[in-house]
Amino acid sequence: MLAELVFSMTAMTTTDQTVQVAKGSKLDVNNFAGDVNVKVWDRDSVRVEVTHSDREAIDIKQDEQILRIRGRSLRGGPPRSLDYTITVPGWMAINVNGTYADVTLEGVGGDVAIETTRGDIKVRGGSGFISLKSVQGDISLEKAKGRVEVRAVNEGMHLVDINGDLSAETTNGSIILDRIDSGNVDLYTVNGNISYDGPIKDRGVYRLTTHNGMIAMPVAERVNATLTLRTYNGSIRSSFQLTPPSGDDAQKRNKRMTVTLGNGSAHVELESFGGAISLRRPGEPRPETEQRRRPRERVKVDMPDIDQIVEDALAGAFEYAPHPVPVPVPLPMPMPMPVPRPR
Amino acid sequence: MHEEWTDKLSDYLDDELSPRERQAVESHLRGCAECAAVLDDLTRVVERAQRLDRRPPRADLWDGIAARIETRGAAPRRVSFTLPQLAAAAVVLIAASAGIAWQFADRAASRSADIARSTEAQSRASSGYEAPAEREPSAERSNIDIAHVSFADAQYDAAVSDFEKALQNGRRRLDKTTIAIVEHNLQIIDQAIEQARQALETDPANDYLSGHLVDARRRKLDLLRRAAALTIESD
Amino acid sequence: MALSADTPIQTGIETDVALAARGDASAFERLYRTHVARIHSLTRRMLSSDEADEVTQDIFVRTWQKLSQFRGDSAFTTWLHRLAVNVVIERRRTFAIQRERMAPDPAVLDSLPVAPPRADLTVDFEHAIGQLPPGAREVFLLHDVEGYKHREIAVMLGVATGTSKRQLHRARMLMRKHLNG
Repeated sequence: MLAELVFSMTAMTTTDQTVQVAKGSKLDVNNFAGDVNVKVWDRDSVRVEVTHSDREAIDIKQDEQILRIRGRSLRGGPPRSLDYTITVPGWMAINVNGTYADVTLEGVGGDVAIETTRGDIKVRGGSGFISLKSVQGDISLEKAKGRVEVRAVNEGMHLVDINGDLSAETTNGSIILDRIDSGNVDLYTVNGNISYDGPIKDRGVYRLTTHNGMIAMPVAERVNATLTLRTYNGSIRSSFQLTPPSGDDAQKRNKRMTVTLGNGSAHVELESFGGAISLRRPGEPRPETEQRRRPRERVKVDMPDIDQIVEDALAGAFEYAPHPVPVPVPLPMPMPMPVPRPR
Repeated sequence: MHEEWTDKLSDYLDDELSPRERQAVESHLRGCAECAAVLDDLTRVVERAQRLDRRPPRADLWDGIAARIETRGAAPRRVSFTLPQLAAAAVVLIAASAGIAWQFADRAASRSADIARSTEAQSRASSGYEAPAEREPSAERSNIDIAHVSFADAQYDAAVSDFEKALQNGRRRLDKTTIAIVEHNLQIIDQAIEQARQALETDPANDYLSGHLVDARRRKLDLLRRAAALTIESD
Repeated sequence: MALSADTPIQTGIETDVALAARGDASAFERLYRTHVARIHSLTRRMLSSDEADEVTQDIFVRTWQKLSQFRGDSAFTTWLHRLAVNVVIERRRTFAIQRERMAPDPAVLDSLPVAPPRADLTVDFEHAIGQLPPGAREVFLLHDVEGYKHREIAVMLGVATGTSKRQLHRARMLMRKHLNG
């Protein structure tokens, strides 16, 4: 990516190193900017490939049970944008930290902890404790099992084939889930839809909350759950019959209701201040996810001028922020939210 | 006063008498103004007792409770964490360098702390590598002092304003786009908080709305925390 | 399929109870905020203002510890309240000797001058409850303020139903004097 521009001006070196790791070791990568691609192979060793200039050194250190990988600028300051390709054993736990790093993990099998400020996170696999955090950037997770925690801010997320406890939060974006198998789910967004797909398990707890957006969830015919559905400006819909008791206030019924199904052992709490709550039978269409696939209006954010940051660093300016980004990024106002009105 | 009769009046009032005793009391009451007056008084005492209001304690007792229920695991009440540990545990924090000490317990924090704890145990047992909370700090070590913040009181406002200050102090360490994203999202949350607040004004008894407001406020604190942490990590 | 109109407080509580039982402290904080006024009022009246804060905290800590035992066959509020009464009674027993020593003689209450009518009637009424002899006060609070039946009170206090009835009547007769003051 951007690193190539920089490389063209300086002498290039390739680091390609393979180190043996003991079972149970953990990988810890810190990359300020650039790609971190992790894939797996069938050996108990880690291969690190990265192309960089002669102004940087790559430190690969192994102590105790942690293999640490850091880029280091030989002239001080943070290193330039570095693109890593790292091959690890399938059992290895992965920890990646970065600021402008895009992180892709393919087929990993242990704990995963990724934190980046502005970058995409894409993970296939993971088992144990899986934590993904980004402020701006797409987050997607597939085929993970264990305890999953996802935190975004200005972006939605897509989680597929998750088995285990799940907690996901964002501020400005939708949370879309496919094929989830979990008895403990906590999802929260301020401005976005939440679409769930998966069975409601006996004695499970499912909490789906948005301020402005739709919440959709499948409810199978034979299920043991207490559904608590609450909205303020939205409405409650269902593709199947919810028979209200006679004399119930129709207006209220459309905003707040509790439905006990079977023995009611699972707790399902769906809340949207301003949007609809929509129940369907498993297998019925999910219009809310179609919406997502259309190009949606996004807050347009350019990647920072990494070269500028690098030049600052090389010049000894360690605080990179003061440098003006040439054009101030205009941010559209948040999606208009309905004005509350008394019911 | 006829004590043999008045002694029966409470039971009469509570419908604890047999039909025969009841009839006897009623026939006495018809002829005895004194006993009827006592019955009237007793009725008023019971009514008054039922009307006694329930007042919350003067001081917020939650902090003391939270402290005791949080020590349920091995975790001590006041701990020093490094930033990455906090990031890993998603516990709210503020740098001691900013001279402020806060803590918070929310559903995410408590849950992720649980997750972190149990994962720690699991990973130790299964593979022996370090738990996430113990990973090497990638940023400068900062000792974080932790105290408690509730989302329903003035402490919350104080915590928000402290984080805002910390963010303001550290904002030159963040690039403009990141600042713009954070501010844009704070705006979105503020809008949600305002709408929930307005709705609550028109419908104060709505417990969904109060819970929703708490959630939005928690989210704001969480985002401010995250942003403040970024300014420190960028050192 | 049973569908009921949302009873807001109860639904919120049920979910929070389930969450809190799984270790969610913020759900438990919501439960605390919903119930603290009732629990604190109970402890304040059954014990004293000095002890109320501490005992209220004890009650919620014990609730948290015992949440996993809550089976949901009664309402959480009923369950919590019963737990609170047990804690209070236990406390009263533990400190019974000290308290009896400090408690005003029942005769003092009878001899108190009847105060002239005032605006803040409730305060005086509350104060008068605090002056009741301990046994009468317990039963009066449990029966008339908290709404328990004599059978239940008898079990809680380990006394006969007749004792509970007599103590209640005694308390009410003493409280008559404070209706207007």
